[in-house]
Amino acid sequence: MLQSRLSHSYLLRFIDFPVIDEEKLYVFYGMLEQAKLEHKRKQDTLLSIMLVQIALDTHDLISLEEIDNEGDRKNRQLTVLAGDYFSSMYYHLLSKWEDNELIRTLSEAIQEINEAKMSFYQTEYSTIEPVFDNLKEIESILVRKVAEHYGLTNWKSFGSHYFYMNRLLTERKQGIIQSGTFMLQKIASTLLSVKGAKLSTNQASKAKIVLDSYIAYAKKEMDQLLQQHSELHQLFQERFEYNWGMKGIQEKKMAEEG
Amino acid sequence: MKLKTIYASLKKDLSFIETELEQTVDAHHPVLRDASNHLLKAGGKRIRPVFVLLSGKFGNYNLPLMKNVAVALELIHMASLVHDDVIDDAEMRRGAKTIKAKWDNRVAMYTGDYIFARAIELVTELNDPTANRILSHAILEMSVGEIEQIRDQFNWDQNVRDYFRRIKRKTALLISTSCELGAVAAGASKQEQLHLKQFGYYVGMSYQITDDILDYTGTVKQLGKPAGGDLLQGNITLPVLYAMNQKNEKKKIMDVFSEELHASQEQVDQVLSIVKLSGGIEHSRQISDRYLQKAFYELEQLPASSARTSLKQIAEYIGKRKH
Repeated sequence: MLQSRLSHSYLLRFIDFPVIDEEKLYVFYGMLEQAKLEHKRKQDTLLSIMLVQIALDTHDLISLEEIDNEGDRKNRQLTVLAGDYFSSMYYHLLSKWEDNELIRTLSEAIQEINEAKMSFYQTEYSTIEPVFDNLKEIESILVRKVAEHYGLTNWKSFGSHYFYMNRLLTERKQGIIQSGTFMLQKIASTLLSVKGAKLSTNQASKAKIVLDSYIAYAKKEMDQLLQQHSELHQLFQERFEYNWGMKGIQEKKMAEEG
Repeated sequence: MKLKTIYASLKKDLSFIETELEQTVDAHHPVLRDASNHLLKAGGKRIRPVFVLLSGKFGNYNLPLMKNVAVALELIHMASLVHDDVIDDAEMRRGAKTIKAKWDNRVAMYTGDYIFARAIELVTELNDPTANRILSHAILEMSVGEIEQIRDQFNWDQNVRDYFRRIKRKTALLISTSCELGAVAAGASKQEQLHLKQFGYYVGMSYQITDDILDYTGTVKQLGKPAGGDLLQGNITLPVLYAMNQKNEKKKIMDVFSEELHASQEQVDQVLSIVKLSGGIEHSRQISDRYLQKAFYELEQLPASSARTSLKQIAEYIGKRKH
């Protein structure tokens, strides 16, 4: 259903199909299962929340560089418009359900997320800790607001942490494929005073070591949270181990090293 | 008559709206705040808030309530401009640097998204499902219209119907929505809501056609850029569509552009001359005027009042404006 909503024939001729973060989908699905909503409404609510996330993620893809060919120009233009299109769809969908309160919650979340993103992007941190705090804030806002909206207090800290972990691992995975993701650049610029978009192999390796130490710490916290919430433990432990277990990280590291 | 003179009856309320606009985009992060204010300070006609307020005069006009709609509509317009400047890679707007030029694309995207979300939040203050339904429909259609505009760039096979559908989504819908939501927020009768909505639609169509004519006839001083900017970007508007329907003119225009996707200023100047000689400008003026007459007809169905007079004056100004 989400895939069909995201399909716009002309857009997809020029931009990649939007990435649907399955971990987020799984968490929001689990939350809404407990929100006592009628089936169709639950489906549309889940769709709306995911559309917000996808719209925000799509706008993160806008490049900063000068463009000198028609294909890249079209791609950038349509990436801007795709984000706007997905964003307008969440509002349209919730308006049909006359869900004024959730529209307000999500619009507040979008504002807070853009505040946090601007902070992450613009602030020149002198230490590394606030970089990760800022990233956690960006990842936490939507799930926290939705949990508060439905009174699902258990999910607030768990969802925030799960999404943070998810983001760290996604950054790590991308960093293996292409050295120099936005996150690695931020770590490098904070720790190593590196300016510019490209990192040397040595700089990227140093940034990854820092990232790995934060992943290890976040994993420990995640385990503690799952121990505290037995109902979530049942739902997520297996998935968590399967997708993101430390074993997985070790394997990725080995594959990277060669 | 100047727009300032027409706005005189709303001076106090508009000044209140201006303050509200500034307070509404008072973000925590300094860059987000500065970027939002940057565009606000560059000015603009504030035509959407004016339409909201004047339409509200046909019901129970309550400024503290109306302001939510008036400010939201201007913010939605602003947010779309911020993103449009990234799409067009534009350096200047309203005589000032664009957000993407002053900061960069990423700052522009975050600012646009922030402003847009702020606008939606304001509308939820009304707690009115009808308001959300009307606005969300307009916004969705607008975004589809923008996608279609990119799709239709340099598409010489499009027809006048494609053009009208595009400008409806691009401009007329938001003006129509401003009028309708103003009437809804003030609790005007269903019939009045409908006439105001239709009035806004016709004025919006006339407004955009006039805008498209000005791109052919305006001076650098009036436009803040050389004429023919739309053609340079491949946006095919009514004057050129009319010219292309004339015998031999299509071939002449196609010859000028030949195989090249991007036209030079010299090529654009050539097409400007062809369009002017074809009568495309005059024809477009007539169509714009026809929409204005339809807008006036809708107004006549509403009770006579100073708000109705002001709406008529604004519509006349829009049809005859030079910039």
